[in-house]
Amino acid sequence: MVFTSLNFLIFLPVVMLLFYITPVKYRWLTLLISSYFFYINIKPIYALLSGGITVSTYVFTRLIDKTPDDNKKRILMILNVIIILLPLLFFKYFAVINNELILLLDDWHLRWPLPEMRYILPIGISYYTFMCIGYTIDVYNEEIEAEKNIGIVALFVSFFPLILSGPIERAKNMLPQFRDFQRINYDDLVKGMQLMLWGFFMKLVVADRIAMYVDVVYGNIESYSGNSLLLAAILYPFQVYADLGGYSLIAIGVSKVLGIRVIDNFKRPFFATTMAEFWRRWHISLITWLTDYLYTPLSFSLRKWGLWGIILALELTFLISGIWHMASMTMVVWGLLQGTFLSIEAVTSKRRTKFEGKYSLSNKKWYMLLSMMFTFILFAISQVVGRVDTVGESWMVFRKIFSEWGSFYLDMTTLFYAFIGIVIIILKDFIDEFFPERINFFTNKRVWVRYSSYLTVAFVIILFGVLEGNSFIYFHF
Amino acid sequence: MTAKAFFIRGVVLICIFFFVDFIISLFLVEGLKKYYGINDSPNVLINGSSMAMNGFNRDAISKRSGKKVASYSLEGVGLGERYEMISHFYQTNSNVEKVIFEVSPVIFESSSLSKNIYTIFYPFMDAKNMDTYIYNRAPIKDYLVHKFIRCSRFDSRLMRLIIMGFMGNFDNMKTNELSGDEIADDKIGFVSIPYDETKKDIFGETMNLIEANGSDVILVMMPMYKAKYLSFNPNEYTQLSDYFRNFCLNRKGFTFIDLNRKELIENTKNFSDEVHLNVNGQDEVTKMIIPYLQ
Amino acid sequence: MGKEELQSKLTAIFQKTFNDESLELSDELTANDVENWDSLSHMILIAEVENSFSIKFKLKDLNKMRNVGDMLNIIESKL
Repeated sequence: MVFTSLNFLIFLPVVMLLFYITPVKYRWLTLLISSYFFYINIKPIYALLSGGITVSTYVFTRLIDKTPDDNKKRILMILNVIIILLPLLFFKYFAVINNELILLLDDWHLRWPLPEMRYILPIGISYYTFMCIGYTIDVYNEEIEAEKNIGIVALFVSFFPLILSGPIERAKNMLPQFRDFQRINYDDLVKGMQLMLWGFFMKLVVADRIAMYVDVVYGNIESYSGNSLLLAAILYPFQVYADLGGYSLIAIGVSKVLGIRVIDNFKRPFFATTMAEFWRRWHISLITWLTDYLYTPLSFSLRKWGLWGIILALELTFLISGIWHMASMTMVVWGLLQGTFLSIEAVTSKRRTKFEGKYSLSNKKWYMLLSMMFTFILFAISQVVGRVDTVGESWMVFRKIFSEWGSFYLDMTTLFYAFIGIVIIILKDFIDEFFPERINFFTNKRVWVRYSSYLTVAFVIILFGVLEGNSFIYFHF
Repeated sequence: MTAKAFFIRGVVLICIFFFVDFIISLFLVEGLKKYYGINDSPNVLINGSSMAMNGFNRDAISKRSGKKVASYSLEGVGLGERYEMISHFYQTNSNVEKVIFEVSPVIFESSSLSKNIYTIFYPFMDAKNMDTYIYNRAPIKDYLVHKFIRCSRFDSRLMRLIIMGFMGNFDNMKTNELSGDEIADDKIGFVSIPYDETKKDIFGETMNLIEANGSDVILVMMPMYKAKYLSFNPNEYTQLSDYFRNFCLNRKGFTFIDLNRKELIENTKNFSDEVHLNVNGQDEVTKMIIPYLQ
Repeated sequence: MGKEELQSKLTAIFQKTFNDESLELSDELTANDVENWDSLSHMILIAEVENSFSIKFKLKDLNKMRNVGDMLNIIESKL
């Protein structure tokens, strides 16, 4: 079941009703059953996996809590991290590596003993694996106590709004909320529905529309000219933002109507003026997770090498982030590229601050706009590598953009709708960034403004949304 | 917010939603009908699939013949769908003199339709026959959603047609020209002409329906580029055109025209692809069809 | 080393790391209040502090540093 399916629009009200008529003490059970129903609906066998990860995490966190000896604790922590990583490694990477080996050895006329493997990656596994690793490490660090009710741990792993595509939540935030549910709050209910409405707009009207152009061009790089590829490269970051950003809003909204607070995943990313700031606004739940559990330990252990140690830690973190997205060479390059951008920024940071101070640039509007555009271009370049299938293809894209302009592929209807959609999203972010509380639609004091905004967005989704087919880009990550 | 306020506001909002939904959908369906010309008591109805859509210029035919013309053709429809379209058309129009009915060598093909062809009829779901047609084919959930949320019957593709309808612009012109290849000798007469009896029955019923509504019929064999034309088995092609010719001889007010004429189909300038005419071809066809409308 | 001395030494490290000579430390100061104090410069800061005070932090100490006050306490406990 995906959020944009008709089934979900029936499923959610039913779950809400059941949830709110259940006595507070047993609400975790209602949510747990609903979550498993939701996940099983996609593929029953997946539930075994999330169940297995739950059991392992529960047992090990309890053991860590009970063990006084720090070394033993450490071993238990590492053991659980390895155990819950195994399915992810197997499903995501083993088949890829194995198949690559078969091809490689075939070239030398050697037989590799293992047969070719094709498995479908269990949806959401990348997300809940990370959530469980975070939980285990937090218990090890004594930041939280291990949960004693295995049902609540199971709910943490399988909570249906988050299981498919995040945000990647923390046990510290979620477990207390699952232990003690709040009374129904109608303001939250309204807020949650507003978030969902906007999320559906971003996903169905904007992301899926842009995809119609981008998919065609990227689907056949060889036959499209440099100018078409350039347009696709500019559109793609907007597509991913509208897609994952919209999806996250739906997830956050669904949680909110159930009274659960979930962290934000995007904060108007295209208004960032540096790459470092961009990554504090883009896929926030993933980046903070990587910072806490990967970058900090790495850079801490490499700190004696000073700036170089930090650069190395950065590269490694983004390399792993890249491979987490997808097991491919392009994502390796993507990760290294992000690390490099950030390293260059870190190295030149002092000089830039001085330069900006000298000409008092940092509060000049044109300078800010220029910095935002430059940041966008860097991200768009990295996303070209993220979008294509092979590294060679990304070279072809860049080569064509710079040297092979030809007949422009203009699917006017699609581009028209896509353009209007992007303008609306950016305009909304612009208002939220620079004039918060000044211009309101969904939160306007006047009822008629609120209602007409809801209805306008709803009818735009119904009339202009791409409603048939198409699952979320991030699902198989 | 209190529970009471929440539920009252919710109900109010839902009521407004359905009211607005109703108003918008009426407006949209009006535009679409204008685009097809089916709410305007036309004298001539053109019905077919994409071949007719690209083959006939509604404006030009209307101007030269002095008659109001409707062009109710949809891409990808077969005989079954066209029966429903014509039946839907007659529900609101009664003074149709002539129906130009597209035929082609593949008209009796058993089925090559896309499975969800019924989705193209969603906008006209208020018509009884269309409603039944969709009900029998669509998954029940899809049917109900489109039944109750009226705006869901439209999509962004239709918006263009609706705007064109309101603006009175009915052009459907392709301007590109075919770069025609000669047909290889061993491909000549290679393709057999399909002949499904049940399709033939639907065709007969459709003709009866038109006859019962008092309109004359012009069966038009749409032109194909010669390479395509020659690929069909010539004997079977003659059989098929004889069938249509005899069919028309037996009924009063029925005419059959075969537009696969040498001067038309040998010229690449008339086609945008092997089976679809472009703007030049439209012009030629208009000239040929006018005498039959007088 | 007294608390005063410790704080002034730390202030000098902060000023150097974040390139801001007007920076004043208070116990409640957090990364959000200082420009350029992000996860990258944080680790440089940590390394600087370790060198100047000749101490070694543990990873767990890092997690406990919510503001400058926490940092001062942890440094003090290591001296």
